[in-house]
Amino acid sequence: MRNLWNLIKKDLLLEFSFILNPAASLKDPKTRKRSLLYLLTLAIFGGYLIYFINYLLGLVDIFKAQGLGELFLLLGLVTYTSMIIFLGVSQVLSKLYFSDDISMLLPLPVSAADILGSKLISITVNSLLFALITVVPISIKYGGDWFFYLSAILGAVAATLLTISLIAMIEIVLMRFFNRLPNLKSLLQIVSMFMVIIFVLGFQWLMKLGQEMNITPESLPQFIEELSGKIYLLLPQVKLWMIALTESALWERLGALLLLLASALIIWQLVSRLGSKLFIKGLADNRVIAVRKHMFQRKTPGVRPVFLDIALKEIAEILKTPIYFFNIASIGVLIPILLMFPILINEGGDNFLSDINGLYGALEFSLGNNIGVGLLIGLLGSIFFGVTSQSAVSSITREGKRLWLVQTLPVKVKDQVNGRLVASYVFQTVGILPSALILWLLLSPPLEMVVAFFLGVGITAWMTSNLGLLIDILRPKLNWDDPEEAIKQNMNIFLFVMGSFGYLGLIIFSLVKLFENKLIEYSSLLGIGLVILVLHALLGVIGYILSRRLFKKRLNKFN
Amino acid sequence: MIELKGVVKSFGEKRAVDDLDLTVEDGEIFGFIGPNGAGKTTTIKMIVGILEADSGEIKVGGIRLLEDPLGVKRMISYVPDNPFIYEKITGYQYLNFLGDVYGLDKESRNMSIARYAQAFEIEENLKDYISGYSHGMQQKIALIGALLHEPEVLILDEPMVGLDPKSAFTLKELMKEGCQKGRTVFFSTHIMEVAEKLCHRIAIINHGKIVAVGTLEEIKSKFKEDGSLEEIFLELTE
Repeated sequence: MRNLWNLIKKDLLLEFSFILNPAASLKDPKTRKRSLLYLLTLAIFGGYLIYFINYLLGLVDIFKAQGLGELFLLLGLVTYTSMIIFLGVSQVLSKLYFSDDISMLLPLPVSAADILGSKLISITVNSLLFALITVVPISIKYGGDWFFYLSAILGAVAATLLTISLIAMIEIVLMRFFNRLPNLKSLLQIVSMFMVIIFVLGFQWLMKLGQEMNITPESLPQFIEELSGKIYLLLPQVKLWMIALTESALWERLGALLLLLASALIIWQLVSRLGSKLFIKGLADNRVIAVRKHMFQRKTPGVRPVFLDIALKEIAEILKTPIYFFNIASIGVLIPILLMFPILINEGGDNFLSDINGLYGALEFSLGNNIGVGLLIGLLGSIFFGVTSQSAVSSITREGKRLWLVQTLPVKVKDQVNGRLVASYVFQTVGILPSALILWLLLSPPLEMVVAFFLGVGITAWMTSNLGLLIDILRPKLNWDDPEEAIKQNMNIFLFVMGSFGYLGLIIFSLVKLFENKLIEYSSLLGIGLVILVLHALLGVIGYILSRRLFKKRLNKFN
Repeated sequence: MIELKGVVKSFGEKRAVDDLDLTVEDGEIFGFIGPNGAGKTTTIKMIVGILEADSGEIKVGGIRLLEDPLGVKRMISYVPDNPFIYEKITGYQYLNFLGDVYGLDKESRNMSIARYAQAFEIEENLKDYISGYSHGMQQKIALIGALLHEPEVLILDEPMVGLDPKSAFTLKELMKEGCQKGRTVFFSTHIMEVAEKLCHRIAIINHGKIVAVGTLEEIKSKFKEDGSLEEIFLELTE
């Protein structure tokens, strides 16, 4: 128990070093800038956060006024639990199997069960931060007696610990047994992705259930009961949490809360104690497999251009590292499924399809318009894919402590930059292809629209990759201990995503306003598309030139 | 005392450690030398419990590693060749964490920290984040962490790498002091001179097997009376 507490204390010190140790954090030049940037971001992001929380709180009032307050509370808890699952899958994998920390702890006199138990607790504490923007404001606004608030807090802790422990159990078993065969580790990545898909699709399915029921005041109780039943089947911890929060009898609420707490503690202990041997074996196998793979891959490659070698290295690294794969390559799989699902579950009416067809049918088809529409969809749509599925913005960061190799290898700057850009194009274009294919099959657009679409995609991929790489060259985050930290706690990625979505929002808003005020017509779309195309191409060129110029200059300053 | 009997460790097809027998006595400074990939680090990682042997038996202080891994780990301290140290905590916090893990009381912990920090000339930096430390300073803080609880067995993988001459000298003196108190020091090195001057006994490992073991004189008399350790090493590991 003493060591468990020591390990938890150490993890919390590392996770919240800036808060718990501000003096040292500000003294070290490496962390000073980052700490100040975090503060600045928090100040900027805080505004959005307050807006989001206010929006949520407004919804509570609306739902309450219609007698649906309890339903809203339930949806709040489900959203929070889904977020925990979504983030927990990669966090658990990263903290347990891809962190140097474990290698450091193994020779110390601490049991594997304590190591595993402490990791589950620290992941739980991290995950609880999301409760601050979901469960906490909703609960305060929803209001209740003292036991309600106690249940909200303890319920969040217990539900999170239970969920994280269950995710860990599944991943430990998978890593132990699938790791024995080389290449089967990727199965885990697929499992992770499907877990996310199941939850996202689950929501759409629930929405459909609501639509089908055609809710009236009379059918409302039945609707809530059916909806709750479906959710409770998937997430029993949410059921206990809801009983603790909303039932009228105190003994029932107390019983549910105690049961939830006991289940969380028991499952956490069971996973820590029983899973520790499997965890250590899986960890050892992970190392052995890496050696085996290395041995089998001793093929002498033909002479390739150097930039291609760098691109292939980037692609292989992303595909083989779950956290990179999950963050960079998965969007290309997720979006098409999300596009297809509403079509598959809607019978007869096909609302989604008819919405898209309606929008598409409202277009005025002509050669110029077709090219304009294709261009705009390609240019703007690929910004979304560009920020989520490109690899250039983390390319230098991912080198981490291996950067010395980049600094010392006799590789031309041109090859370094081109290789990283090629890998990024691959992920962006491969990512957008399935979605483009589905839209093509649904709408059968004319050829010129398709060609213009791909031209837009290509130019925007060029721009986003170049700008992403430039940002990463300027301020890479090289000091990280596990891949998750490199990606999730990366200010470059955050700023790039915020900037790109801000730009996308601005363009769409401007276009809508221009249309509303009749300042532009359909025939103007081609011109607008071409202007944006030239702008993207130019920004890409500027990004490329600056990347090449700054790469060498900055490279020797990184340490 | 460290005892290895018939220890085997394979990675896929490759036998990294092949039926290895070795005994290191209490109060002994034992040098473990061998070319790259010979099995030194794998052997060390098995002794400290990072890797599990495929077969064979490892005992430290008479305790079987497989039966009581925590008992063994309480006796030993290990510093790897390229130590990973948490960077977002201060030197003090790191040493305190280790003090907590080894169950040191406040007084003896503070005394040890003060003593070793002074010996390695790092007192001024203990309140700084480890991320700001140089490679050598990180090596020093890892060594202080290893010495903190006065371990019965000190296991070091390439300990001199990254240390300035003065710190290397300090470490050698601390190793000698430890063995005078009956503690065991087991370390790997590529520096023949260090092995020759510091070690009571030396083992040379090649392709996972011990090819020579004994005092410097024993090894010389067996393989090359008038040769240096370097010459013998080169001949045996060709």
